Amino acid sequence: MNAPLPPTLRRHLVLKAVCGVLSVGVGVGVGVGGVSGCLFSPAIEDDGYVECASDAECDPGRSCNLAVNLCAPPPWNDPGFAERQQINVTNPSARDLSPGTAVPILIALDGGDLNLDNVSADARFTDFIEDDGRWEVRGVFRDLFADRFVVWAPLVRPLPAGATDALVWLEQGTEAGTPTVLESPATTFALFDDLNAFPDDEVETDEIFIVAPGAATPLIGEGKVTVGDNVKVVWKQELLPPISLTFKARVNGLNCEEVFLGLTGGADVGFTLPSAGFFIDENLSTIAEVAPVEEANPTAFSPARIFSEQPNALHRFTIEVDGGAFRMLVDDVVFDEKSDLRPPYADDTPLFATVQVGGACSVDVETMWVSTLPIQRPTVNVEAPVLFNRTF
Amino acid sequence: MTSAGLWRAPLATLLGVVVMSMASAPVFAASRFDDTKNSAAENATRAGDIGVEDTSAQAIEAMPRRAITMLPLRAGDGVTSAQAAGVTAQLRAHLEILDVEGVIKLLPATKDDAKVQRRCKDAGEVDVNCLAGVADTRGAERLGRGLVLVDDEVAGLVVEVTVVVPSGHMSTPRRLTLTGDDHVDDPVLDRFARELFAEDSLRGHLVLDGAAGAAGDAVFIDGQRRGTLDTNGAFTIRELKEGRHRVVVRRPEGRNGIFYDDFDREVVIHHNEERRIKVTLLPKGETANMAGEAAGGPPLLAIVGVGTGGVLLATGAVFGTLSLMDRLNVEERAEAQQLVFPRDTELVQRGRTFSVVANILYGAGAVAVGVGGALWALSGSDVDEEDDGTSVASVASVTSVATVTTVTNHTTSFATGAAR
Repeated sequence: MNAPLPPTLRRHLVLKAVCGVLSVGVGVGVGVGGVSGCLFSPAIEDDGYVECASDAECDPGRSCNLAVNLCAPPPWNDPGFAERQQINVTNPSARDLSPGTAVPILIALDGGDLNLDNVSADARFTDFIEDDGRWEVRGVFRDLFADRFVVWAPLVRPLPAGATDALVWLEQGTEAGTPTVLESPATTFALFDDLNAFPDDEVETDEIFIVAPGAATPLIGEGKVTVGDNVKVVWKQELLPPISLTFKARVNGLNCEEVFLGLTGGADVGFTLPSAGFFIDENLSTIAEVAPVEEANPTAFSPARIFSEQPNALHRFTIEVDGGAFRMLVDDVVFDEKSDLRPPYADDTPLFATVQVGGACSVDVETMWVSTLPIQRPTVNVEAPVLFNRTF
Repeated sequence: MTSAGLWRAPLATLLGVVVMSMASAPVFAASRFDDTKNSAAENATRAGDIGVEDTSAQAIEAMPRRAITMLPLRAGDGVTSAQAAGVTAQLRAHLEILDVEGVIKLLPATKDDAKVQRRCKDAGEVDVNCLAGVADTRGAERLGRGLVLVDDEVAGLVVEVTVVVPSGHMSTPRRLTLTGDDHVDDPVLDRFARELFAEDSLRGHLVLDGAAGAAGDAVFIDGQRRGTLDTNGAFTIRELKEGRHRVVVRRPEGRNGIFYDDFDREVVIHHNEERRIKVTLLPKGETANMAGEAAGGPPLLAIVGVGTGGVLLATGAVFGTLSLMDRLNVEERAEAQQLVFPRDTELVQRGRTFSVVANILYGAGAVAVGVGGALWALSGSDVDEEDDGTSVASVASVTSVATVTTVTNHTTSFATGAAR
C-alpha cells in the first residue's frame, strides 16, 4: 500500500518532527548549560586542594585521597593542641639525604625559621605516617642558646636532591601549657654523646671513645670530659662524609699549644690524616686546618685569629666536610670555609671525632653530635599556622 | 423517520438522543419535564460507552408529532392589535410549515381563541389551569400563548410566548425581538417556532469523509452503531439532532496486520447545517499523544511533559541547593586547612553526587518542559480558508487527522409578513 498520506497527516508528521527536533535542541542546550553551571567545583585550589591521581602530584605534607582525588593535609592529630604548623625541608644539594639525617630548625627572635615569640612552651614536634595513617610524636634535640635555640629533627623519609618534604609538624596550644616536647638526641643524630654516662673505671674499655695509646688519661665526670695537656680522645664511631660534627666545649686557659678539635683519620698516638678541624695555638690563635687525604699537608686558608671574643666561654665548634668542601663554624657563625678542595675528601674514607690538647690549657667537652648533613644544608620553610576548628 | 420506528425503539435510546437538544428547549417548571431531562442525561452518558451496537438506530432520529394550538398574540402596551395580529400570522405561518413537514400537527384557529385569552385570566394573571383545560379540550399537547411588546432599545417589537401543556404546567417565556425592518429573517422565526413546539426538529447533517481504504470501518454515533463507511470511505447521517455527538470510527482489528486506534471525536451539530469530518485512522500508538486534543484542552502529553519537567526542575533545584551548601562547607574547611580525609570524604562525595543528580534533573526537566511546551504551543486551534470559501476548522497539528467542515444550508425560505 503506497497510498499518499492525507495532507493533514503529512502536516501533522512534519510538525511533529520539527517539534521533536526543537525540543531536543532546547533540552540539550538547557541541559548542557545546567551542567556547566552546576558542577561541584569548590574553589579550593589556592588552598592546596588540587585534583590528583597520586601523592606525587601533591604539595609536601599532603597526600592524594583517592576517594575524592584531592590533595589534602593529614587529619588533625590531637584536638588537645589548638594549633599546628607544617615545617617543610628542601634539599638543595646534589646529594640524596637518607632518613636519620638531622636537620636544624632555628627558632629565634629575628632571622630564624620560626619566630621565638610564636613558639610556646608546650610546643612539640610530630609527623604523619602516611602509610599507616597515624601520627607519631618525633623525638628532637634542642640546642639552647641564650637568645635562641636550634631544634634538630631527623628526616623520617629519604629526601632526594632538589626535593621538598614535610619535616615535622609543630603542635602547640594546649590547655595546660606545660612542656610536651619529646627530647631524644640519641635517636636524632648519627652520633650523640652528652658525656654523662661514663664511669671512671670504664674509660679504658668504653666502646664509644678511646684514649689514644700512650697519652695521659682524660678527666671524665660531671657531664663532661676534660681533655688536658698531652691528652687525645678519639671517638670510635666511624664517620663517612658528608659530616657535620659539633663539639659543645670550653677552652680553658690562654697558652695552648697544638689544641685540635675536629676530625682525624685514625686513633693513633700521632696525628693521622686526613683531617679537618680547629687548630688552636698560643694566645688562642686559631686556624681552620684541613687535609683531605692522607698524603696532604694540613692547610689553613684563612689567617689565624681568636675564634671568639669570649674564648673561655662554652662554644659550639662545628666541623663540616663534604667532598671538596669544608666549613667550620663557631656558635653557628662561619669561621672558615672552602668549596673547591683538590683533592676532595673521599666518601669512603672514615673519619673520627677527635680532641687533642697540648700546652698549658685544657678543653672541657660537654656534648658532641654528628649529623650527615651535606655542606649545602637543607633549607627549612615553615607554613602558616592552622587553628583547630571544633565546629568542622 | 417514522412513528412506527419510534415505538420500536427502546425508551432509553430515545431519551438518550433527545437530551442532545434539550439545552435549547423551553424550560418547564413541571417535574414531568425535569424527569424527562434527567433520564435523557443518564442515557446520554450510557450512550457514550462505545461498543454498544444497535442496528435499529434509525429509530433514534424519529421525533414525536405533537398537536399544537396557538392562541392569537395579545397586544401589549404601545402595540396595536394589527401589529399583534400580523406577528401572530407570521408565527402561525411558520407553524404551518412545520405542520406540512410533519413535525407538528397544527390545530386550526377557532373563533373562541380570543375569548379563551380573556377567560383564562385570574386577577390579571394567566390562569394556567384554564389554559391547560383548553389544550386538553382541544386535544392539543401544547398550547401557545403570548403577547407582543415594544422594545424601546432596539426600536422594534418583542414577541413573548409561553407554552402550556395539558397537565397544567407552563414554560418560562421565550422571547424573540423583531427589528424595524418590517420582516423577520426566516431562519430566526423558524427556529423560534421549532424551539417552542418542536425542539426535536432542530437537526443537521453529519458527513464522514474517510480515505478509500477506510471502507468497512464501523461508525458509531453516541455509542450506537450506525453503519460502515462506504467504498469511498464516506458516510452520511442526515437529520441528526442538534447538539453534541460523539463520533467513533472503528477499524476491524488486524486489518493488513495493523491495529488501529479508534477515530474518536466529539462534534457539534447545528440546525440546518452540514458537518463534514475528514476521518483518518492511525496505527496504534500514533494517536496516543492526541489524547489531550480530543478533550479540547491542551494535549495530555503536554501537560504531563510540562508538569513532570517542572517537578524535575524543582527537585533539581533542591539537590543543587544541597550541593551548593556542601560546596560552601568544603570551601570553608579548605580555607581553614581543615578539609581532611577520610573525615570529609563523605562531604565531598555527597556534594558531587548532589550536583550530578541536580544536573540530571535539570537536563531531564528542561527536556520535558521543552517537549511539553512545544506540544502545548502546537496544540492550539487554527482556521484556514480553503479556495472554495468553505470554513474549515482544524485542530492543532496532532489533530490534523480530523478536519471538520461546516456547511450552512438553509432549506426553508418563505416570505415574511409585515411586522407592524
